[in-house]
Order: sequence, then C-alpha cells, then structure tokens
Amino acid sequence: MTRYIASRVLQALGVVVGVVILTFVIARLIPGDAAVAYAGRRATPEQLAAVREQFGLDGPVWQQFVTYVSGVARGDLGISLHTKEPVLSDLLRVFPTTLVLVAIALLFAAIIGIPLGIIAARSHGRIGDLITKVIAILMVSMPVFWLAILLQIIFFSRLGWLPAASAYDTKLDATSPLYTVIGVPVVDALLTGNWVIFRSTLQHLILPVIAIAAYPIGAVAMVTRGSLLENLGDEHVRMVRALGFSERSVFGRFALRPSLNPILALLALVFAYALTNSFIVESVFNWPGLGSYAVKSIQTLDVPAILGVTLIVAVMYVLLNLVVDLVQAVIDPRVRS
Amino acid sequence: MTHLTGTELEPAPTPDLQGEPRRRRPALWPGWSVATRFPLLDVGLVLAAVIVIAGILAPWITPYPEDAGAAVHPESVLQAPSSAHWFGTDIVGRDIYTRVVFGARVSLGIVVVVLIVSALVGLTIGLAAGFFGGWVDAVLMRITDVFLAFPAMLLAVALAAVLSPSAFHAALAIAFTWWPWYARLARGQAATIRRQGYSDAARVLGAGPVRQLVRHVLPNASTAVFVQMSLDAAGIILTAATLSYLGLGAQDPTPEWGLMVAQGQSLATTAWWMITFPGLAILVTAVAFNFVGDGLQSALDPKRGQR
Repeated sequence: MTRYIASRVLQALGVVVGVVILTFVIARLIPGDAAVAYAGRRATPEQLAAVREQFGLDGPVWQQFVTYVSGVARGDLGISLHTKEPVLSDLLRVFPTTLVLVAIALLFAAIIGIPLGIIAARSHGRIGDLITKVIAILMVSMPVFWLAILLQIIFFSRLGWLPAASAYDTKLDATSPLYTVIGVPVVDALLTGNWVIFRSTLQHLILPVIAIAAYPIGAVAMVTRGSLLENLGDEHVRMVRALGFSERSVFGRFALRPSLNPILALLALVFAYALTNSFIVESVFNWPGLGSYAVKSIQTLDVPAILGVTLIVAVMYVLLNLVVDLVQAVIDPRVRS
Repeated sequence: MTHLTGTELEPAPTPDLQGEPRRRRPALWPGWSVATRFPLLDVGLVLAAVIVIAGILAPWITPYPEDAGAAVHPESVLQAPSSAHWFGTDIVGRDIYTRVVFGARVSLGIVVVVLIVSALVGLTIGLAAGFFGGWVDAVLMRITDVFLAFPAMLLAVALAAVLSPSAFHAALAIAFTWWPWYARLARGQAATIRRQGYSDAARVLGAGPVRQLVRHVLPNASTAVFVQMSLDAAGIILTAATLSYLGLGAQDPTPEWGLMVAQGQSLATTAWWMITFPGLAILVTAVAFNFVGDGLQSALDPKRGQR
C-alpha cells in the first residue's frame, strides 16, 4: 500500500512538472509583446527595456525558463497585465468563489443524478429506463453557454423570478453590510449570520448552478445506471438473491455500494469539466470568480494570468485524480495491483 | 497405459448448451432484432443521417444560399419567423434557416478533422506504448498524462490565439487536446491483444513489429475506436461551438452555430429566434451522435447491453 501511494504521488508530481513545461512552451508561442502589453502602447523604448529587464524578458529562452520554473516553485506566477497585481494573489482571491460554485453544482448533480441512474437501472429494459436515458443524454448534449443564456432570458427577463448577474445584490450592503471572512459571499454571509445577504446569494446561485450542473447530472446518471447493471448481473448479487435477501437490500447493500467507486472516479473527471464550463457560465452571469478572471485575461491577452489559470486548473485535476486513486485503493484492494 | 484405443483422439463431445439460452453474438452490422432492441440507436442514426444529408444538400434545400456568406439585406433585418424566413432573420437580414443548414457543414467538418487528427496521433502513440511496453510505454503515457491534465478549453484558447481564430484552427486546437483519450484506449487494446494466442502465433512465424501492429493489433482494436469516435463526435461539436461562442473559432461570415448564438446574445430578449434555432441545432446534433454512440456501445458490448 505504501509503495502504491508513493508511486502514485511521484507520478502526479511528474505530471505537474510536465504541465509547467507545457505552459511555458505555450506562453512562448502566444504572439504579442508582453512588455508592450504591460507598459502600455505609448511607452518609450527606455520604459520597455526597463520592463523587459524587470521581468527577465531580455534573456535567452533557457534563462527565461529557469526564471519561470523557479518562480513557480516559489509560488511566484508573475504580475497580471490587466490587474497589475501578482497572479497568485489574484487567483487566491477569485478561485474560492468558483470552487464553492462548482462544488455546490456537483453536489446538486449527485443528488439528482444518482437517483436518476438508480431509477433507470431498476426499470431496466422498460419505459422508465428509456425516459431517464433520454433525459441524461439531453443533459450531456446541452451547449452550456446556450443553456445559461436561455435560463437568464426565461427566469430573469421574461418571468422576473430570479436575478441575472453577480453573486448577490450589493444594494443590501447599505442596510446589512457583508463582512469578509474567506472572500466567498455565500459562505461569508452564512458564517457572519447575515441572513438578508445569505438569502440574496442563494437566489443568485440558482441559475448558474443549474447551468453548470446540467452536464454532471447526465454523466452521473449514465455511469450510475451502467455500473449498477454491471453489478446486478454479477455472481455475488445472484448469490445474495438466492439466499433470499429482499430485492431492496440486494439493490442497496450489494449492488449500489460497489457502484460508488466508478461514480467517485467520474466526479473527479467531471470536476475538471465543470470548472471549465463554469468559465462560460460565470461570464454570462457576471459571477466574480476564476471564470470571469480567465475570460478577461484571454480577451486582454494577459499571458501570465492565462498561464496561472491553466496551472491552477491542471494542478486541481491532478490532485483530484490522485485523491480518487488513493480513496479507490482503500475501498477496493484490486486497484492497488 | 499399454496402447492407444483410438478413443482418446476423438473430439470431446460438444458441451450441452441447452441449459442456458445462448447469447447472440454481436454483429458489426446490427440486424433487425438489434434495431428493435435499441430504439435510441435507430433515432440517432436517422437524425445523424438527416443532418449529414442536409449539410451536403445545403445549397439545394435552402431558399437563400447566398445568405450563408457575407450577404446584407437592409430591407429584411431582424424579422421574426414567417413563411418567407422559417427561422427569422439576423441583424444584417440574412435568413437564419439557410445559415443553420449550412452550419451543419462547418460543424461536421470540424468533427471530421478532429477525429482524423486525434485518432491518428492517439493511435500511433497508444499502440506503440501498449505494444512495446517497458520504458517506451512509461515515457509515452506520462506525456499523455500531461496533455490529459491540461484543461482542453484553455489549451484550445492558447492555440487559437497563436494561430488566429478560424474554424479550421479551432479544429486543430481541439485535436491537440483530444488525442490522449485515443492513446489511452489504444494502449489498453494493444496490451490486451499482444497477449492473445494469435499475436504469439504471428510473432513465432516471424512477423516484425510493424506487421504485427498493422495486421493484428490495429484491426482488432478498431471496434473500440469506432465506438469511441461516435461518442466523441458530440463532445467535439459542443467544444467547437463553445470556442466559436467565445470568438476563438469560426469568424463572421461563416455560418457557425456557436458564433450565431453569440451574435444573437445581446438581442436575445427581443429577437429570441437568433439564439434559439442555432442553439437547437447544436443540441439536436449532439443528441444524435450521443444516441448513436451510446446505442453502438450497448449493441456491441454484450456485458452491458444484452442483459
């Protein structure tokens, strides 16, 4: 077991190093002069030279690479060209908000998706199976940006039921100001007991969460169904049935439990997908998170910020996969070999 | 044991299969019984065929083929759906029905480019890794892991920025992030097939590594690859539409569905038809390919589908 953990951790570290190298290569490929982007179009040649020296842009490629890698290792991701702040502090500011948004969406997806998959598996071969399957496929086939726009038009413009943008109604700050604890409005409001703003944040969460959760709901439902059916046909389930266990406990105790492993693995995979989807949803709903930051960085060709976003998403993906692998190894000894 | 009586050499009696009904062998061409058992596969195949044919016949089945390009009709700007313009008109008066039908060409073209490029790269790397094993496998799969960990959209964003945005460049960017899945799939297949009896036989008969790969491993891995391709088509269409929506894919006169949604977004509260029909086109096409992929998987995989 120790050997397995060690080899998986080493492997994950290797992937992170590879990702750092790849981000550097991509940064070199992106056209445009970073010094001009930072100092502005009207900067004098002397100012440009000073900027180049400050960021090490005047040295040979290998030297820039060494500077970049040692910077990343120390947590220095450079200065964002559009906020003029260190990229790391920018990321630490915007990432928690997105993380909370995606986590709520995934929780929502699991709550809807797993029962949907169970219904499909229980009614296998009958009309209920077909209907849930069609629903699941519709969910994974939905273009996220389109869904987000439609939700906004229907529930804000037409019906006026839900707010269209931002994390909460800032007008409420006048009567019940929100104190910052971790920088995520919904969590801050909950922790400080600010129920007026908490209510507002929940209302603002509904539409973005639905838009982000659509794909995970479909994916979770399909994997739950598939892996339940696989387990229901297994020897151990046949054995338990023969022993006279009720169909209810056959399903819950002996078929559902081993199906949780693939669902867990899927959730990690879907997390990365949901994170990139949250970029689109955040920019449609003007949500103050990593996605809006990423889209703004892309529009302004802010290379250090784009690389920072890429790195943080890739590292999250590697970390999640590592955690899932280790948890699976604990649950299922067969994974270790 | 004194002498052979001869009975030892007789073939063993055929095992009695009466007890359990024999499972039908999955056929590559699904027969009639398969067609009735997998209704979603049928619906998906019909839908996909309609979309492909509509794309091919676009100039003959649309009322205003010139609207697929940079036409401008000031007299018919932003008209609601009518008998003259089934899906309404856009901000410069172009017929949206015409543009949606022509859009099938763009989206399907992107799918073809991405599938060919990523399958070629992925199969080459995956087959080599699975077939040779050892350090070749270790190095190739770690490289694959790096690309897999990279968020597909961000890599595509960076490449679109380098190559100047267009539908073809978006396709290349997507392929760049898509091949690791084929590499993983092909590696698993190659590693399994290499241990089969017929691979040993080929090796013993003196087949070189290239011949073994091309004649024995590749054909036997192809079913899994084709199922994966039909499942991937939907994902590629969604990714390409998203890139175009962000302005990183097809550019204006091109009738691309994601781009059309972006063009209609600011007017969506009044001119609802501008985003509704292109979005529906993306959804229906993705559903069609997902139906086909899911149906093929069930029809070809006895463990999952035939129970």
